[in-house]
Amino acid sequence: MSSTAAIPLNDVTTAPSSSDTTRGTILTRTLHVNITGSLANLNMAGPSGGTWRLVDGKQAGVFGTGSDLDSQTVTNQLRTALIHEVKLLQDHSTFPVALGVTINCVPPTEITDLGEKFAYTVLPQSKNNVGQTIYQCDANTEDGLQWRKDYPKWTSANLETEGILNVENNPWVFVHQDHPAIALLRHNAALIGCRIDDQPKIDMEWFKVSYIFYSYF
Amino acid sequence: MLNACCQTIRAKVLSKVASNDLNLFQVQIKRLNADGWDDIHDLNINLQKPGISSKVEVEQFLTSPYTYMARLQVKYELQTA
Repeated sequence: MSSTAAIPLNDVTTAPSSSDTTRGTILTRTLHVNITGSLANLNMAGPSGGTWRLVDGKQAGVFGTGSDLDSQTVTNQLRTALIHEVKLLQDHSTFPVALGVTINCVPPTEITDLGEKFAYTVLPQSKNNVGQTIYQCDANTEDGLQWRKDYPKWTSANLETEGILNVENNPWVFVHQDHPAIALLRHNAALIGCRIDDQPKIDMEWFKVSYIFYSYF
Repeated sequence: MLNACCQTIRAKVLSKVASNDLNLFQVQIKRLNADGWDDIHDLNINLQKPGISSKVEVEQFLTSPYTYMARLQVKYELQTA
């Protein structure tokens, strides 16, 4: 089984409009996905068989804005991307069996009689040149816009790691002042019995916060 | 405290906010309605050759190289401020 690297074919960058400062940079990439293998080889590959992904280290170059930012900054930007739309422009399968395609950033909406869910399915030995929208999201919900404006670095996956400094063998951590948890504590001063902004900061930007909630409630 | 805050944020806010980690973007194909890639229980149906049963043909079915190709267009937004 093998897969080839992605080829970004076009790149449409839109500067944030002055009337909508919460919008980021909108980009479009066209990826060429190629998955090859015999059924026996795909079976031997186990759960990761039939997978296509970017070559490690190429993500920033393919999905980044193309600016002079260092790769770590771009990697962080990619962590909180918002996918607006995914279109299948063309596909071609020489497999003699029907396939289900999953795209990990896209919710599966096509369902088989056994209840399996996929982003889309492919008929055996088929060729399709008709474009199809696989996924489209409403990127303008107020909650989403506000969150991305206020906390661009944070997602559900990195809440406990981004902007957190762990101190080994201690029940507390240092939390950056921009972390959303600090805003939550700030707005619930009465509930926790103290004002977070009255607490001393380390290096002017880190609050000391217990990891597990012990008292107050 | 931090643990409780993170759980609250996830439940009350992030459950309504879509975001994706494009560093992990991947596409995977799976065989529909089969136990595994080498499932041959419906071989005759899939190959449209009723009655196929010879060992050679089964071997060929399992070991021939196949390809799936797709052109996917992804439109997305990055916070660059």
